[in-house]
Amino acid sequence: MGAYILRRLVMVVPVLLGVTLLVFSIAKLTPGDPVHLMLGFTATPQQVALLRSELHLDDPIPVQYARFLWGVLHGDLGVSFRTQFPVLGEILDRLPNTLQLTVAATAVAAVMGISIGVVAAQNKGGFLDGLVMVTALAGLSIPTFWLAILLILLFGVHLHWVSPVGGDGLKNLILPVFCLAVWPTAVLARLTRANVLEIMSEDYVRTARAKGLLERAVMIRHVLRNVWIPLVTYLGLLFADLLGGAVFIENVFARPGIGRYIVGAIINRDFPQVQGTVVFTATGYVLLNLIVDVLYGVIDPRISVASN
Amino acid sequence: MSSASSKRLPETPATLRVRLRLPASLNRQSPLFATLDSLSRNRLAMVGLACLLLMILISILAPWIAPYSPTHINYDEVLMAPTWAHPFGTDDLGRDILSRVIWGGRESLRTGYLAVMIGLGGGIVVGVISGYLGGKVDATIQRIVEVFLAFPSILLLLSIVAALGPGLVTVMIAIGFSSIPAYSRLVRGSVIATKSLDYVTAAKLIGVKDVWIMVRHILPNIIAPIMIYGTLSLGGAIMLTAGLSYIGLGAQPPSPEWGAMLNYGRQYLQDGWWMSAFPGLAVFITVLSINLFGDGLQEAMNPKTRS
Repeated sequence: MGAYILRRLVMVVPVLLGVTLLVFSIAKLTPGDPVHLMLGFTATPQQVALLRSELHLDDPIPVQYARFLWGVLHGDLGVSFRTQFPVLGEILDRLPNTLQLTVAATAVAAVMGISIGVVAAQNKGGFLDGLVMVTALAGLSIPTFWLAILLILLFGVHLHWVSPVGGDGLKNLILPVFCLAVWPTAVLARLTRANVLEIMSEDYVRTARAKGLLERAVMIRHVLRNVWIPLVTYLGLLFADLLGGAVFIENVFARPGIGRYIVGAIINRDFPQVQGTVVFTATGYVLLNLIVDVLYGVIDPRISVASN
Repeated sequence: MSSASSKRLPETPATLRVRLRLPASLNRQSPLFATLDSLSRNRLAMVGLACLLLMILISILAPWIAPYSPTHINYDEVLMAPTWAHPFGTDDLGRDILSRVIWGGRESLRTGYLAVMIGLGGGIVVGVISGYLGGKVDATIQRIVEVFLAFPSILLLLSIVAALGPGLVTVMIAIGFSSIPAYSRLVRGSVIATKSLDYVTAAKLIGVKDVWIMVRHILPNIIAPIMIYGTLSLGGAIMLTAGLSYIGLGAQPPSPEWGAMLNYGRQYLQDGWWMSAFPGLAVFITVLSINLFGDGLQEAMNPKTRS
């Protein structure tokens, strides 16, 4: 197990190097001079030259990259062009909002998706199964930002249950969480149904039934215990889905999270903010997947044994 | 045997060919026949295909079927709720929402399609080179692809939009490029399975150049499943295009692109719900049609789930 974790840790290094190299290259290839973006076009050549040397922009490109990487390793993601504040601080200020949203959406999606999937599998071919599958497909097809608008229209504008312009408090978290959870709930429902059906056709389930176990016992002891394994794999991917969703949902509900921050950064062409958010989020994602992989090895000993 | 399946038995190859419009030469035993036969029996998939074709047709015929110009401003009919004259209502400038939704389909479908084509094109080039050449070239390309696949593609997409600046063309390029790593993996797998087949070995033995083998012998044999996968990704690309336009990174006003219309309409949520409702509905129906058809196609292509 130790060797497995160590090998997975080593694999994280090239990925993070690749991400930093990618965002650094994109920043360098972007047309427009960052110094002019910071000082405006009325700056004198002396001011431009001074800032350029302060930011080490006259150094050779590999040196600039090494400096950037060194900064990242020490928690320095640069300073925003616009606000002049350190990017890491700005991200950490917004992180709790995004985490609140994504953790709540994960919980909702896990409970709803898995329950719906199990119910659908138990009624395979029936009306309930058909209804669940069509609803899940609709859930995968509905643009979440549009669903959000419709719900704001109903609950915010017409019924006045929530604020139509967003806001703090648990009440104003319900709609964003629901909208963000729609896609993963649909994915989990379909995934759970397929897994339950596959496991139900296994020999050991037939044996359990043949020895006279109650259907509920078969389900809990033999089917559901094995359903967890493929679902845990999706947990890592779920974060990518939720992150993508948060970019849209935070903008619709005007929630000051990381998704809204990066969109604002792109519109304002604040590249340190974009660069910092991409590196920070990618690192979080890679580390989360590392945890999921280790967890996967713990709940399914076949994985770590096979990789050893 | 159930009554439903016994009712299907009398169907002859001839009637099937008429129903599917398949060529008489198509072998009934072939996997393609089985796939198309199963697909044609799937009612939901056929509804999806019909809706998708209808959406494409409406977009193509937009100049002839849209009742008004999408940019025609009429201050006498500002923020009108749906009526017979304007079935989807009008916006704050009196522009007809139905006409804008019809014209918007052109922008959204075209952007989604071209984005998928960029992804497919790039994925095919990278995947074929990596899979066919193998060895160090393959190992190097795969390590790079692994880096790209190891973090969410939305981050790569947003980085590209940040570099090129917001706009519909940028969104198209960003969606296309950010999907190249995933497509290339799929293509590489197919190439590796194909390159060990006898006809490829025979071509090598008679001295055919590698580039020619890749283009003439490998590519035509892997292209069908990859094109299908591309079609299935179209829904995601259309949704992403609309989403990015909605948050201001894609099409900009006065473009009638569906996402841009939604973005514009959110300022008038209280007085003109129709400005947001109908463009979103168009995205939903298009993506749902593609997903319905895609689900049916995947089911039909898998011998285990084929009906």
